[in-house]
Amino acid sequence: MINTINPTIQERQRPVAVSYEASFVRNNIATCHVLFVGQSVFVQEMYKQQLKKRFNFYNSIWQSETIFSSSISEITNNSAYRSIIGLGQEVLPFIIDDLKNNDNHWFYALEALTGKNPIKENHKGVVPLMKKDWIEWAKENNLTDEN
Amino acid sequence: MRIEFPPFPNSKIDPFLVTSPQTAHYNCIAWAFGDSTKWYWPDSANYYFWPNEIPREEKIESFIELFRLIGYEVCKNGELEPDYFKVAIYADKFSKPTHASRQLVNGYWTSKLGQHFDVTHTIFSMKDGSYGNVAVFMQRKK
Repeated sequence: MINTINPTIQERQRPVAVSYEASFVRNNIATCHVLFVGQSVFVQEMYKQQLKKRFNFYNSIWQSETIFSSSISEITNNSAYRSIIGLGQEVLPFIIDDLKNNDNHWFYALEALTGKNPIKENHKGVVPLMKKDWIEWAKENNLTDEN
Repeated sequence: MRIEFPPFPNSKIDPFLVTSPQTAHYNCIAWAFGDSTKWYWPDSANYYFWPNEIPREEKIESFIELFRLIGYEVCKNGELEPDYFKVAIYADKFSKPTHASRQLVNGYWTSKLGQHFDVTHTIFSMKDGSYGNVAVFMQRKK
């Protein structure tokens, strides 16, 4: 039975209309989740693998749907490309790796995810040099293994 | 190598002839313009090559201006005329530019297919495909 006249510190901290027991369980679940996802190398690796799979999946769709296109707006407005951007900054290392090995048009996605544009004025449209500028930027910002 | 592509239904009847390795270093506009070192496109974010003196707009008029820079003028058709070089600018059903081809001396056309390879083809083989159709032909004196 909760003493409503002189509540304990725990009782004062928990939200209104949540029982002490429910609050206890909820806090423990949150703590377990943080500990499990945040500190488990296994889970982090598993998450990274799943993200890589999703990246590869969308990337292959993007490639197949835009291979014949010259239009940059068509290439970068493709829904699979947008989905890759939607995966967030954690896909940046995958994009940089792909960029090292291919000439894919990742430049819009890179800017969308980083807010940066390291491409030099006289490199516009010269895909190998645009790649070079971004790969150098990635090295400087520790987004690639080659530092 | 003669090849057909589903995005171009007529290529089943009149196949393309592949004439280069696959590369994404240049696109159809650059190839028709005569440059195989850059990707030409008037993208709004200003990432790709587009001459400063031409409006950076995805409109047929901008593409016509691009080819005017090297002496092309709008003409009636894409028939082979020995004294003229010709290019064809393609657009989709919304009149949005999609592609450009350059005529060869034998009357066939050469195109770079996006990030794919270069092909030799006829106007018919590309007709009603994923690039739509020819919106304008342009020519310049040899």
